[in-house]
Amino acid sequence: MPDGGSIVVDFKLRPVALSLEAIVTTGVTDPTAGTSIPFTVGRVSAENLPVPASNALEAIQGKVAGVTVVPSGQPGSGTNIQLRSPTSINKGNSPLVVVDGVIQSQAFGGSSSDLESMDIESIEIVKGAAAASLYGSRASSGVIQIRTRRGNNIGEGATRWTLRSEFGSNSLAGKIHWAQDHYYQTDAAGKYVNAAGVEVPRAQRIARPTYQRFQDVAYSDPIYDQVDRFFKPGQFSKNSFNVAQNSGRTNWFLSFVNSREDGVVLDRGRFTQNDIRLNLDHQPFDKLKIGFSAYHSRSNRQELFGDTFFQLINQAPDVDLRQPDPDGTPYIYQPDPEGREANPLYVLYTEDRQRKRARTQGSLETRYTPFSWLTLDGQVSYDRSDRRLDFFLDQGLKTELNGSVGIGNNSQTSGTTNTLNSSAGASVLQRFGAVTLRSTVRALLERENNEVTTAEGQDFAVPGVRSLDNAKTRFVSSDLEEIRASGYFVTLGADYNGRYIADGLVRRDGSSLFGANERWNSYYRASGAWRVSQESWWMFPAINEFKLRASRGTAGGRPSFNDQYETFSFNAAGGVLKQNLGNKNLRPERATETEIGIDAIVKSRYSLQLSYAKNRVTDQLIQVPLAGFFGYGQQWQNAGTVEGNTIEGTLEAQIVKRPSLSWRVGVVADRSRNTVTEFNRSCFTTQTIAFRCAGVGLGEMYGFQFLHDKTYLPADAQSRVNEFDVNDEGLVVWVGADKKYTQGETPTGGWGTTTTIGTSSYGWGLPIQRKDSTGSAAVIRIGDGTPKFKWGFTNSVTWRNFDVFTLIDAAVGGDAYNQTNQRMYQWAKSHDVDQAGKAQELKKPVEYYVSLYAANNPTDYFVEDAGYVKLRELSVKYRFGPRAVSLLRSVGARGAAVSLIGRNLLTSTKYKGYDPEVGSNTLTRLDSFDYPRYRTFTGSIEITF
Amino acid sequence: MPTLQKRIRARMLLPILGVALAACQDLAVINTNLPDAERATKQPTATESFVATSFRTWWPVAGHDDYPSWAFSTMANEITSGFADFGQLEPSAQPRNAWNNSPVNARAAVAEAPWYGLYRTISSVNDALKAINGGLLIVDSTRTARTKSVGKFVQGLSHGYLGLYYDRAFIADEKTLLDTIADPQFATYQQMNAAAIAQLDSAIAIANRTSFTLPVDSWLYAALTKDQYVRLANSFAARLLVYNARSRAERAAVNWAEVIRRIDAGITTDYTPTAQVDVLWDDWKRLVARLRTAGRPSDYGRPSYYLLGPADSTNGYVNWISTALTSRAAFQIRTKDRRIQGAGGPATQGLYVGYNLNNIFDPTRGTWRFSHYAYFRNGTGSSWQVGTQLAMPVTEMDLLKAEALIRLGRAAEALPLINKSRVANGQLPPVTIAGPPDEAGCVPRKFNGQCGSLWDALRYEVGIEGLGVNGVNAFFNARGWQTLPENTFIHLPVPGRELAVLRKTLYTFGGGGVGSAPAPTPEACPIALPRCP
Repeated sequence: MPDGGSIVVDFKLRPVALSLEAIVTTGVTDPTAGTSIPFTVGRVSAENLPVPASNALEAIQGKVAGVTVVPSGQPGSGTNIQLRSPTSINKGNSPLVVVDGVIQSQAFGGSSSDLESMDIESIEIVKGAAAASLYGSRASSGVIQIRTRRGNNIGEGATRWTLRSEFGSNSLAGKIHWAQDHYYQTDAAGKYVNAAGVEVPRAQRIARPTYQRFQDVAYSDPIYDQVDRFFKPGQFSKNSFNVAQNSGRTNWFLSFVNSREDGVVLDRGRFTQNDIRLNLDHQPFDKLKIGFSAYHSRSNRQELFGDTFFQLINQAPDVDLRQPDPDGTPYIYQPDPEGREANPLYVLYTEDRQRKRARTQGSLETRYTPFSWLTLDGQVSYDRSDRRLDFFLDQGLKTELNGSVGIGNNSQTSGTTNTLNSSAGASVLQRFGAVTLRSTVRALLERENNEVTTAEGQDFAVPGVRSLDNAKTRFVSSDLEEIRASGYFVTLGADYNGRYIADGLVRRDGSSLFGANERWNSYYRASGAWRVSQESWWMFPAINEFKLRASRGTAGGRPSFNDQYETFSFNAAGGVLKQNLGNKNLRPERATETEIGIDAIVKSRYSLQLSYAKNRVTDQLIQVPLAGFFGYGQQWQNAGTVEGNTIEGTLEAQIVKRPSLSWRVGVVADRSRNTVTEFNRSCFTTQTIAFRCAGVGLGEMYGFQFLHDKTYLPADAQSRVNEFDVNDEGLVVWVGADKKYTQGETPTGGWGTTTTIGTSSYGWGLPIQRKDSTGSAAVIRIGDGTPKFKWGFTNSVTWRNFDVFTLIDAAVGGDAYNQTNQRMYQWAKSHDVDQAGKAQELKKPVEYYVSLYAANNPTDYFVEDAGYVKLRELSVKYRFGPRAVSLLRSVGARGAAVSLIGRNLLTSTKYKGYDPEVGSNTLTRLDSFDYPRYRTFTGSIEITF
Repeated sequence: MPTLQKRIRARMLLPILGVALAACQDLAVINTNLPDAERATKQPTATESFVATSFRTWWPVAGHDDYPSWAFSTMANEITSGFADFGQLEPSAQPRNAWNNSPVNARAAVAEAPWYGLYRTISSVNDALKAINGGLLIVDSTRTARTKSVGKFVQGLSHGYLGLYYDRAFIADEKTLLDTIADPQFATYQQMNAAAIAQLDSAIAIANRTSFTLPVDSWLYAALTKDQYVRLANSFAARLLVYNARSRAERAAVNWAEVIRRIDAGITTDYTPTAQVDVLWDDWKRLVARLRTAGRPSDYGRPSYYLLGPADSTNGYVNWISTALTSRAAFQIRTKDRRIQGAGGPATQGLYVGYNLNNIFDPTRGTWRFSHYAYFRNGTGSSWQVGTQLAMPVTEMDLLKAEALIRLGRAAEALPLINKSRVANGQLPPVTIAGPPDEAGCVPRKFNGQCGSLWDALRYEVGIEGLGVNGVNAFFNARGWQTLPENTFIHLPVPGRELAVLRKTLYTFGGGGVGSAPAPTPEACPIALPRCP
């Protein structure tokens, strides 16, 4: 260009169509293009979030490879997320979550439920230690970083107002089924009679003889669908208003969201939340940037009592749960004269449980760049949670403990968590010819205080007064935890012409959670990438990006507050008892992950990421039981290793990109496996079905097994194998010499008779549990909750004024343990027990099913294939055209749209429960009377000013 | 502007420097929630509290809470239940199976709760005794002696109950150096019993060297003088001497003279610790007496026909016992025993139990578990949370002594002891050496309907008077009298979890294998008596 001359250049900005090309900020010290990152960072942008999730973290389900989400049930609950293979046997496998720079405290339950999903701009997911080493001793399970909208997304000088309202309903997605028949003696009219044939009331009815105790007798009284009686569609609404302004050096975004979700239980369980967010960026002069984010939310939830769904499944089909109680309650306490559990509707109505929460978060980030090669920065973030749980059960109401005249109970629990994180650092960026060097030095400080105080009272002086002063007997308890941590790290990165990329990191972390002798631990990362497509000899111009990458890193998993300490517990009598033998040598769990993979982009429209990650987590925190005579029950030790691997792939395609039609699809798939390879304590079962032992996977299920093969009969029965048969369910049963299992309906020698062979007794036709060499029921592997693989498919089409988005995801294989159905065998409530319609010789008495119930021990019989395919998200949006918008201009509107939205709409599965996504964590797929996952269908309108 | 930049630059550097320095913060944090050993034992009175609160950790696993009471009482056919929560269903199933000693067993707490509960108790008192032996003075010598004596008392009770429940256990007193034990050597149940009685004797000896009292609101939860306390220790020793026997032969071999000596030196009034909400109460009694729905009293467990049936004057029990288990149905008893039936007829409530026709249990659990008799001895409301809890009645000691006298050939001396409660509570005619008067409606009757022997009357009296007192005595008696159903396990193995911790081989008892009860012969008498087979 001539001196003093001018040149005209036309720039055409191309929107980043592929996630792989987007700028990444997580796991790196400064924003970096995805194509230049030597490890995997998953990303979900706003355009893949047209369906606001009930829980912000659930927005990534089915959209990022290697992510496992077990959604929450009741509205307002937290969610469970696992990235790739599990990292911890005992501690959580949840990743660290950062929102607008605020590291989220996880010291209390349901932490993620406070986060609103409406304003999310992007979510980045760093899946393992190979990438997450930057976050040190709390990043072994990966990191999720959420960024919310800011004012810089709109044009300079613009102000944008957006009003959105969504309204619809929650409804049960699947049902469970009750037996519709009974097994009691009746006369020809179906009335209950005693042994003498005299009609008797229901409370004195008698069962049919054992050999004919088939549950195939129709009720003469009305019967009810208890699912329909207990559940009821609830209201869903989400209203938001936000305003954004960008004035060049200053931009800001302010939003307010009000939401309500009733859930599906009749008149109970409502969750409401209001939140406000302010994001502000200011650049007082060119070298200084200041970013500020603040968020505050307040929520209320009606809590359900712990046995709500357990009590439901124990209700008989011939009782009306919605009949009034004589004490004036709209629902009767005990509708069944033989009932063993109270009507949950009565308990829900009479017990008042309210959860109130407030969350306040703020972060301040400053970046000062005195020279082009040097940046100084500092961050401070604050996260405060206030929680309150109130319980009130008035005097005079019926309770399990106090029969018809409850004495009155109340409690108040207050919890507060304050978390302060701060860091300061310096980054150097310098070019030396073709080589670019980056280096960062940073110091970090962390403080967290968690306080919980509980006051309980019972036995009221007078009814109707909620004050604890009303209780004649009172109890208090408190808990105070303080956590301090410090850290330092230094990174060094280099790339040669953007072609060869190397990155290294060393971090040293100290924490008060580590034992006194192990206060400081070190972590590292080393990674590299080769962008082969940048080579001059690259001869595939259609493949405009092809990168080979490898990374290896370490990260930690911290102990819980009490683990390192020697403790005595208090007893109510004012004394103390030995509890935990302390351990000054307790270290954090240490994950070492190696990841290799390729990234490719074809014709700038198709991208493919393939990764293989291998993870080894040593120093597992394990509670080692001690021999009884030590007095101390256990000690936390670093006593195990878990190894896992994951293969994952992400395919993204911008199939059509025209002004009137855009069609984009994404496919993600992954397969993870894990095994405990070292376990230096005795093996044990936990969470009903999980088994902790060397050689066992963390998702595997262990329990007792019913015999399917006569060769597993006890040795003392092998000589009388002709007395055993295999029934139509494939189960080995004892029937007597040369008899068939179909010959049980006889007063003698059939159903109801027993025999003893050797040291074992057998009931006629009843299932037999496999025994071990000691004669005890053998504990063996009965299932595996880990799916063979998972996949997700997103499809986004924009045609003229319509936007259609669908998310279908699937878990292929993977078992769930249906303890809910097992419990329904206990008192013959399950539909499986109903014998009506069966061929007479195949009918089985209720005792057969009670045997299968196996006193609630885990058995292979209740392991079910819980694979599924789900239409998880659907959004059909219509943006009004210019003509319609012109009508709105009179009120200043710039645009408007209406949408139909569905969540969890359709499920294809063989699973018998309400929904195949069961369990309270990502590893143990135990269906145990949890709040069922439900569907939501809504409509929304959005107006932009 | 440059000045502003300088000022901002300077102000920004300060907090960055501050964070860098603050990262050097002290990382030692004290656990303010729970004490460690240093804080727990810092004050002498804190050490005293180890003993003062130890009885309450012994209490629940000694038959006053769910484990092992429900399993033991139902195995002994004292209380019948159609529920499985606390391990009452599987061990009492017919025919009997071996105890599933796997740590995976959903009912593993039947074996684990007493084991770990008793050892935690022992550990606490051992720490206090060790400190006292090391010279610790708890305020004064009297208070120190009280702590030491009660410490030995609870140590003895705990070792004693380990000996009652398990085939073997580990003796850990204040002199045991736990840190040096790599492979603990278990003692037999007989050795456990001997050690326990020696520890009780040590408690008695320490108490007799001084004088102290025990308050009602802690320690043993009864206001006791030193002499009353010593008597209580002797009565517990009598219990241990008798109940340790695993078979008819071992019961016969008990040192009955020593039992009499202990009982004579034992309690003269019922031992009834006072319940305190959430501190000490009898959950066993609460559940046996539970009433949740009007018209369905005693809806969790009910007195068994095996226990009440011998009092029946009709042929209801005779027919019931001779009917196949799966065909048995509940029936109404008619009896003169006013503990079962009121003066107003068979449907009226007796002193301890009462007739209730409504079904409580599910037939799938076995109709032979059904009982139309509800338990009323301790009321049905919330009284279990407050007030006195009958833990060791004088009647129990009287009847133990009566058994001792019969076995020693002094049956005539046993008669007044048996007749005390029989006449006063049951309003039954006194028994003689021949047994109850041979008349219609005699109580008890034999399986064939004939009037029972003196031995039958003693066993019946022990059963009806022991009903609801605790959940384990009936089992201890049944195994010594050979009245347990065949193949019931006669004691628990060391819990599977503990064996796994110690890397020892899993084993178990019952179901026809080792440690199984032989076929019952309840009417067989220990000595020649009229009406004995």
